[in-house]
Amino acid sequence: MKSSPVSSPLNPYHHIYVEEDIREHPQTLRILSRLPKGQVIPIQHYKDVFCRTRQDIALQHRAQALILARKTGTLIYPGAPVCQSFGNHHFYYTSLCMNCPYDCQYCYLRGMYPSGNLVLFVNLEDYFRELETRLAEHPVYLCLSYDTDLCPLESLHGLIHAFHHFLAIHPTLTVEVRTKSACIPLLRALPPTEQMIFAFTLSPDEITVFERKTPSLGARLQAAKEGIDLGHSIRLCFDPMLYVPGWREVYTQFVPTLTDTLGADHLKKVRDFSVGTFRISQSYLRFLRHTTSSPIVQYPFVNLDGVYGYPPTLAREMEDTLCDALSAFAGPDKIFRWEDN
Amino acid sequence: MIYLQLAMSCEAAPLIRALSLSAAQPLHGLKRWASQDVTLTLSGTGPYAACACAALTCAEAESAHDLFVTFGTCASLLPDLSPGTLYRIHALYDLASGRPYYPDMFPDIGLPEAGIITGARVLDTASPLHGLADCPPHTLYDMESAAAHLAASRFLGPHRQAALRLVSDAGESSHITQESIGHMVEKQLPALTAVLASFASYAASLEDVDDFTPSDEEVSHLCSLLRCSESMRLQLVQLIRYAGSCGISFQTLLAPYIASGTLPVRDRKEGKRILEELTRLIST
Repeated sequence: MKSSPVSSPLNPYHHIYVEEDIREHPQTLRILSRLPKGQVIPIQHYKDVFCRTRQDIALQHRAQALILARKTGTLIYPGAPVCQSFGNHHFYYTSLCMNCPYDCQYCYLRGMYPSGNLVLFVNLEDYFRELETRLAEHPVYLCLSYDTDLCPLESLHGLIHAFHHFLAIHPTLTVEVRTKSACIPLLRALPPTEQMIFAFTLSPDEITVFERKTPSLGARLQAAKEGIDLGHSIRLCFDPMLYVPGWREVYTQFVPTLTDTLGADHLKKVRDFSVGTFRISQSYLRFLRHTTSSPIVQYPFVNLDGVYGYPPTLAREMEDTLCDALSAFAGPDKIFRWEDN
Repeated sequence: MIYLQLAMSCEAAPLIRALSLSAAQPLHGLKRWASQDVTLTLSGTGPYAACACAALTCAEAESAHDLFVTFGTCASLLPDLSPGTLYRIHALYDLASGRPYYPDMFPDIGLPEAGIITGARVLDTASPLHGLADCPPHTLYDMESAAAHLAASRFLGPHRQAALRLVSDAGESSHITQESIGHMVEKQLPALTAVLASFASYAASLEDVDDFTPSDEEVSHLCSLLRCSESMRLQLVQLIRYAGSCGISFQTLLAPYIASGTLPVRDRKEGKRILEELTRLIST
């Protein structure tokens, strides 16, 4: 064709699909006011966009569209068997958002969802209502960001702030905010409380190359360090550990990076550590392998009761190696292993 | 390849000239014109013709680099939308079934956007179509687009579809002639050809995920060497994929086994042992 192309790269959230039912919801209006350049498209139901067939997840991740919706049905779920409970009996997770602004090649979300676009549920009041029902029965330990990373989008949705306020009037609720972000402004903005645990997922630089759009290891460590200084409850998660050729050296050299950046005093103040090798359900792995040719995902995992992971001897060896290195500054009571779950 | 679908020859003629398309073999009786980059098919008017044509066309679009693009004229449901404006469609709504469709909006081509409702009858302001008031707040109306893209979605993902529409009137079609439509399309040719060029470079950038799956012949040959059971075959295929993703040649790995006469194996037990050995070799 002779004509010159007229296209330009799309920004994230270039199109915002909004369920008509929540068009005037205060949270919708707040989010739309922060994305004035986004083209708003009214929709009946988020699944009309999110669940279309044959979507290209990798392509959509390069410039995600945003879908604003109302979550219905169950909003607070019992923790999944593949998740670390940290010894909590009443362990739940919730899905305030579907998909993640980050684009990790090994992420189970790529195998779980049919789309790479981001869904944000705006009806937080319904989540709080259901949570209060649970809290009337027993204390609750709730993971806020298993199916997403909420921190990098906090300025858009304000959900972590909203939960922080909710915690103040519900002392038997503890929440975990897991993140790969370098969320220093957020940590500075929130008064520290033991009820809100910021859990930083850390990987050696050899692994972060598979974690597109995420901050570097150094940036995450700086955020964790500042979080400790500010008095926040900080968890460090080495989960998932990933197999790469030379993994022993990679993970052994990783721990001195931690100690050099954080220092012994800070490491002692870390609430706890989580260690676990990569694992994924059979059905998610099947779809995940269609999205990328990365060796991280194409590894010949073994199937143990429907969950795919590394051969047990390798998984144990990998976790042992890291736990041994961590034991220099953390007692066994502070290290939670996936296998012990 | 861009598979372009239009309903009427008066809409197509200016594009056929501008894109230097030559008459091509009809597609089950549907007229076609083609160049190296573009194949244009005339569907005829109405949702059923559009649906049939889209299905036939998209069944051909096998490469990950193929895009399905529809173009045509439409009516505006808002009186203030001026005729002659070219829109990219971001939402399509089929009036008969109530089903919506949303193409991905890749790449950004800078055109104004609108939603469109597709019905089976010509819009007439004198007798508003039944049910239109209950539709989503879309601004355009035509008789093909939603049907074409709903049919196309059976074959192609939303990232491989795009719809372009040119407003011809506001539901008062009595003064619209084939000639006036031809003139309107002619005026938009610079914009249309630039947009199609953008789609072409976008299509070229679409990636096939190479999952390093070996051919059936290769798998069959290796299975006979290792006397594989079905579960061993699946294990072998995944191992070859992993080796490929790591840049390891599986054939090179096997060469010493073949040279020493270890392969082909005598029995399945031996095959299993070698498969496990190969797995350990490259994955631990």
